[in-house]
Amino acid sequence: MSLREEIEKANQMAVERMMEASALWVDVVEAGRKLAVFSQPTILHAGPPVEWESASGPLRGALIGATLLEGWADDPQSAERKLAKGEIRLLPTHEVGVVAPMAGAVSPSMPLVVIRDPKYGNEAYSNLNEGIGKVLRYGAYDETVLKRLKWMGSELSSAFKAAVDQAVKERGGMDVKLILTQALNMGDEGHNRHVAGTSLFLNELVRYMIMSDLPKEVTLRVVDFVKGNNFTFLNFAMAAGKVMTLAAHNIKYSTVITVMSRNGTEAGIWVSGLGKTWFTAQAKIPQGVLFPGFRPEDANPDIGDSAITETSGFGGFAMAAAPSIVSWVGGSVQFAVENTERMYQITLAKHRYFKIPYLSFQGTPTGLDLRKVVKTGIEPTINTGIAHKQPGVGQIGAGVVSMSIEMFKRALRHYAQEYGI
Amino acid sequence: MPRNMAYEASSLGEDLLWELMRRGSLAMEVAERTKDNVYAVFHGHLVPVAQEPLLTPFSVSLSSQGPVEVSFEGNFVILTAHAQPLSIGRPGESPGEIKGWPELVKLASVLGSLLRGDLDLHVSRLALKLLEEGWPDPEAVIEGAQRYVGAGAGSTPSFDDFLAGYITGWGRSLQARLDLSNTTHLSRAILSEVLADRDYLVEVARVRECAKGRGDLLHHSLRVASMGGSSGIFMLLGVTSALLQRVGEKDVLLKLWRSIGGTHRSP
Repeated sequence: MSLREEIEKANQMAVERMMEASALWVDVVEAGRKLAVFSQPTILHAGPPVEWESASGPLRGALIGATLLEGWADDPQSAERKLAKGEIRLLPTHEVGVVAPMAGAVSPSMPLVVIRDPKYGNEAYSNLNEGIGKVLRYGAYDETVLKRLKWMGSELSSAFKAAVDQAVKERGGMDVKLILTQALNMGDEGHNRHVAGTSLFLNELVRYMIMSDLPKEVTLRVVDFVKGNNFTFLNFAMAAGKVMTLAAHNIKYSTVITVMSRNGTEAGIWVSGLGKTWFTAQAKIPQGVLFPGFRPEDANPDIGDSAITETSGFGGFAMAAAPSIVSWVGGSVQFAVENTERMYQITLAKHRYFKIPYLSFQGTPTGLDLRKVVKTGIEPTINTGIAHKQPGVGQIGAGVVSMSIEMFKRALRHYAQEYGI
Repeated sequence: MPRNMAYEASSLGEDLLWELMRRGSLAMEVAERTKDNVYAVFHGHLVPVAQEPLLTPFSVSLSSQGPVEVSFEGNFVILTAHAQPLSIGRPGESPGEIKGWPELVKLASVLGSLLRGDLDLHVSRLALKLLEEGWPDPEAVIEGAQRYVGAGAGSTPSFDDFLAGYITGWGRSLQARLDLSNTTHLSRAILSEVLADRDYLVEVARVRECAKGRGDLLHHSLRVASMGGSSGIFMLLGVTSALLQRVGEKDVLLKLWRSIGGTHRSP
């Protein structure tokens, strides 16, 4: 078989598996119980590997907060000292099957949702979403942030656990992919807009919570929390995206991108046929709409694992499905449509299940092809949140950013060395 | 490109720049318009005018700001210099050894895998047949190429793109003549320029020189590959083929084309 045919066959398989993977929510479990990496003090973070010295403000803030949450330090100063000395290990989330938005700090006591793909035998994990504004994932770590995280790690996660156990008993789990598919038809794009997704999720959640005999006041607090945070479903969608891209990963010859992620300093990608090798470049600063009182120079370079949504064929790639998103990330409806159309030029397929009503129910652009990115020079567009560059402040807006072409060029050079004749 | 509009240019091909700086302004008749490009003519030379034009010693690279005013009036392009813009210069031929061919072949094989469609794959088989039959003589390749000039789709047919890359890759050491009456107007103009000036396709010539260690081979290979739909890929395969022929790597050359989908085998 010629190289062209090998690549074509591998890419077809990768995209097919990505589209056909299922994504069932089956469990909620403490990170330290699920992942072996927590046998020593460790915090996971979004994006490619990074050390404390080069970590951005919001990532530093989140790491300090997670250190305090775990009780490894009594105050922010001593947390910072421990982190700076390397007494707490930092590991990229993606390397252990986790995806987490923005800073992506995951420490052992935090609950993880478990998304399973029975079809291809993969599992992926994400933490629970705290809401917007002053939250850990944007680098805030004051008492209110830690208090909320503690509640999420106890009452909220217990309620979710009871609900998902009921879902597993009744139907083998909650079908996150189905919710995502419906949400894209209801004006979400699955990254920065989850109004429909969170509502659909809540519709199912309530039934399972009632069936699991949770106390009424607990059910009410959980429902109010989810209702008040339209981003609840983001983390479920991200873990679903991760389990889909896992199905497409590690296929010899495949040029499909299976990870795009950022740590606030660098952005990085994985290529299916090149294993877990990171190809990185400087993370760009998002452009968008800032909350009142903040200025563009306050913004940190892009951060988070949430680009897994675009990697698996929704999010920014499906912007045309979500005209209302422009009020959150800026731009115009026309921009949203043009962006999706541009993404078709660098992808291999139209998604079989994720559809865009406005584009006559065309499938979303799916299967980002390394070769097409470098050939066309079109950088993948990501919908994203904007974090303040100083630790402790939090979210200051939302917008759009692209992944630098440079990391794709580095990956192509490596790919050519590996597979070129 | 809209008519009767004013733009600015930040860089010009070195030959056109020299004339513009001497005269202060130039008026050139438009010979052809495509979706993204305008091609004008200056003293018999093709002048690509676009935001990302084919880079030649006569190109005009439009930008949001620049020291040269570019106005489209009727069927003419008018250039007026307010200051000196950047120059798009020929890389020139160096006598260096072609040590970068292994990396170039790897890149060309991966980028070549993007070729799609029966016509492009057919052209790749023609190129394989031609290179195999003509080995090791480039003049025999050119002679054989005569019957395929104009093969392929587009305003510059794929076979012509390959040929432009191949001739550029050989540089001045190859004496070549071709009857170009069977191809498109635009392709005829470009190939005529390439036959007269082996640095006319500046980016392709840069790949040839980068293979000798004069610059970033990956960067310039990608610049070439990014041109047009499949034009750039055929040009890259053309220049790679010439360099492989120059270093005597017949097996690698045939393997390269077969990796893309060419299936021609010697009887």
